[in-house]
Amino acid sequence: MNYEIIVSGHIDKRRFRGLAEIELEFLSGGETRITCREFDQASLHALINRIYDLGLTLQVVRRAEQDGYKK
Amino acid sequence: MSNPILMTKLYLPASRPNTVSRSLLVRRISEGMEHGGKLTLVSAPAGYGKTTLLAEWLKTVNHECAWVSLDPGDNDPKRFLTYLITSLKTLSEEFFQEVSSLIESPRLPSPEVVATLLLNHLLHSGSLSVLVLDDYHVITNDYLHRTLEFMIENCPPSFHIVIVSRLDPPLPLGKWRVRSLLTEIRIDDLRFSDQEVAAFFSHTMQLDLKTAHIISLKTRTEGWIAGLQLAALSLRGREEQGIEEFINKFSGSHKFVIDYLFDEVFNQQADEIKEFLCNTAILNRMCADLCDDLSDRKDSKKILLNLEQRNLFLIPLDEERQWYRYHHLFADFLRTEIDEKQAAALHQKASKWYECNGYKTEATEHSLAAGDVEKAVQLIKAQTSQSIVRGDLYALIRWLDRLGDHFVREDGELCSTKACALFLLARIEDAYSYINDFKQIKNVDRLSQGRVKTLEAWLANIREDKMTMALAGEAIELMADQDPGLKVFALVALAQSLRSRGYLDKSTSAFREALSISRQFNYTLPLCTVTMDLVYNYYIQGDLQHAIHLCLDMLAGRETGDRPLPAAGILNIPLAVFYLESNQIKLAEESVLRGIEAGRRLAINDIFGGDGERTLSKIRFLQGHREDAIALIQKALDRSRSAGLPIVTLRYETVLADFKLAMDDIQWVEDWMLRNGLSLEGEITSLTEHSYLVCIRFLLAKQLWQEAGALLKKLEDFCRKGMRQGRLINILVLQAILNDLSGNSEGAKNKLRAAVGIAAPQNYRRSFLQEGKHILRMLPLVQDTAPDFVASLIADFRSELNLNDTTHVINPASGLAEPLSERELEVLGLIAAGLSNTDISGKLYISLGTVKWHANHIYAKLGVKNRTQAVNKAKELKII
Repeated sequence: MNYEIIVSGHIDKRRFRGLAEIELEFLSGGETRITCREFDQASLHALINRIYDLGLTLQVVRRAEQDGYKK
Repeated sequence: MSNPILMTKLYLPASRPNTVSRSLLVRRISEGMEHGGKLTLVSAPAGYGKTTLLAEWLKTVNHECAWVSLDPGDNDPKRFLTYLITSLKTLSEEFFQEVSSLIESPRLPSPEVVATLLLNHLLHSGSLSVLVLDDYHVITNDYLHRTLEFMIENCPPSFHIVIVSRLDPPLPLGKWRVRSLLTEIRIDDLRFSDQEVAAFFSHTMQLDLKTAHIISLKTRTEGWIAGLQLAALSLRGREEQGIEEFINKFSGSHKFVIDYLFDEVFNQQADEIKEFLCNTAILNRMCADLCDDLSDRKDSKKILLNLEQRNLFLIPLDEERQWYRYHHLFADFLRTEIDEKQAAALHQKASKWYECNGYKTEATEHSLAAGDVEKAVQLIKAQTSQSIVRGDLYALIRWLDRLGDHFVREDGELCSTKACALFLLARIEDAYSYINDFKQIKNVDRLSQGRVKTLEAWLANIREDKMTMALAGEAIELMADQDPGLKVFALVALAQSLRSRGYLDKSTSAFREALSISRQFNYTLPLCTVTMDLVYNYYIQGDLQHAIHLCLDMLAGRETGDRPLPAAGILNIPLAVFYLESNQIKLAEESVLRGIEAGRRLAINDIFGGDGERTLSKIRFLQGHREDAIALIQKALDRSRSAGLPIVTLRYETVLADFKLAMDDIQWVEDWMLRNGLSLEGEITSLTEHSYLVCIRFLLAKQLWQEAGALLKKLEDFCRKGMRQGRLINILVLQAILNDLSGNSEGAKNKLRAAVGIAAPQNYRRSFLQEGKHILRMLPLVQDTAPDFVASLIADFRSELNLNDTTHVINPASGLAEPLSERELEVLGLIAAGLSNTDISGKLYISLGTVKWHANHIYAKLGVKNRTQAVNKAKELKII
């Protein structure tokens, strides 16, 4: 499953070391979009826990379209 | 616990000078408590000053306080409770001894039992006190949540619990909120206000900033204290212009506050400090010596003091400044500065240091974190015996899980360890799966083989399987003396099965060996449970007085130095059995209640086959509370049936059968015998012996002299072969009755004389009393054997029979020497109504034989010979 998460602040990728692979994109409003590809629930929750532990404010969590679905 | 307790987990946070006072929040917590609140929840992410707030509050309120800083390892209930109890010890001195018995039990009692015990102690301690559980978010074990929930629900007014957590705990907060039992401090309460930010910069951090700067910093950090602290650290030492520049850049940046600030602060540090911070980042707790090892320095003590003075997120864990930890948030960031390879190397060094300094648990955790499987396996194996004996099983299982199930199932030693741990946690099905896998492994060491054989022996023993003796014998030989803890298990299985087969002498010596090993290695729980088994042997053997004294010695602590062991209370159960045998009903009742409570706390009543419940119900029956007695047994039966314990079930049913017999419900007993295959052909074991004694009473009641005689002979052989002198008394008494009933009065006298001869010196009394009036009639004939004993036995009989008469339904005007029972009155009524025996049997759902048996009793009691005379006599006496 693919997910998209948006948190406030531009965050360094180092903070997610040790978790499943993610992509970061800084948004102009000062947020960071985190894209998670092929995450299962366990990886997703680990990531959300890390976001919480870092004191980041969670703005959006949503399921993104599957790559394969689009094609 | 196999590891030293880390006292640093129990220290109140050291107070730091010049912190910003949060008097409003402090007052809110105090008010909540004064208005009857039971729980204060401080729930917010890292870096909001939760712990600091609590430290300030505790200083102002002046209550006695217990503090536990939790870590993920505390999800092991035993570890959690050990720390909890150790922390509460500061409240009450005697506390530790009693509650630690909980922790030594192989299986934990229900959360309610644990919570109740803790609360009782808190109640007795009197003064107002507070328990703070810091970092509660690491707790995920539901058992602990439920324990805490029960504690909070039933908290005495003098006690208050504070939970500090990053996440809301899974407790019924909504319910407590409505009932005003809960005070909550949350993220918005904890954010620094404008004034607090100003005070923080000027007072705590000694920085003189313009109001506009303060407001801009507050806006950017949103009152997040960790952010403000980092900001202050990077502002230090800057000139006016530098401050201006920093604040403008910081405010204009989109970069996540902590990323920005952390990089600023970290990069400002001298290279050697940077290196030190990275080298020690992996530690959850640190002392100077450990830091020296990890960073190849000799001056860590100085650096640590320096970091603390500079407010660099280093938190002292004790007043002596020996142990420290980094602020969680800071440690998280430091850890991202090092790569995985570096981290592994550091974990390895930490593991080595902990191992050398005797902290085996930490050494194991770090070696697992280092991915050093070889070392981890070596450390785990070295701790196996100790962990099993101490019941430190959760940690053991967690470590094995981290090694990977596949790996464990292929290593003989680890596979056997896992089987043992699961077995001891009563996860029998899971244990079997590892036992089976173990058998597929080739070239396993003798010790592991012995361990698995011990489990097999124990499981066979539970099923009363004949294989037990062979398996236990093999296990003992394989293990030699390498695992004394499991050897005790093997010896107990062996001894119990020897006893069951009638080899009482051999059984006693195996129990004695188990006891001496337990004493040598100070296995306190086995010391109590094995003694319990041993005293039953003495009782069966005919050594009632020795058995009583051993129980009393253990209970008073005379056997174990100067104080009783925490679990010694369970010896009240055999003691009650023995008091009942000596007809000291009051003492028996007191003991049995204490014993059942002790067993309940240790969650081992089921394991011991419900001796306590059985004895209590016998006492209730004797006291005339027959309904209570039967209800008690019925409840125990339901439990043992649904738990699938056929042996315990048979024991309970045997007691019930005895009650039914006493209440003339012959039919029930007959059905029960059929159902359980209790016949002349059945095998006599220590277990079935009791059931067969009931069968004999049944056969005597049915006047089946021949069958009763044959069965008695079989029981007598079993007793004589196994030197079961104590049990022989029961047999001889029944033989005396049989002889008397079948007209052999000389034989009866001889049997009774023999019984009195064994019983008198040891004071076995109930064996006579339970057989009723028949024995009372015969006793004067054998008084010469032991005049005082027999005289006092007759006195006991008289007082007991008077008591019992009031429980029968009788017509006081009837003038009968022996009143008719309820059932007999019913049968008599039907006879008078003209029903035939067959009709009566149909109407009362009893067999024809039983009707005849009742009828014979009626004739005997009324002194008549047939139905017509019986009806006339009954009318004459106005019984019907």
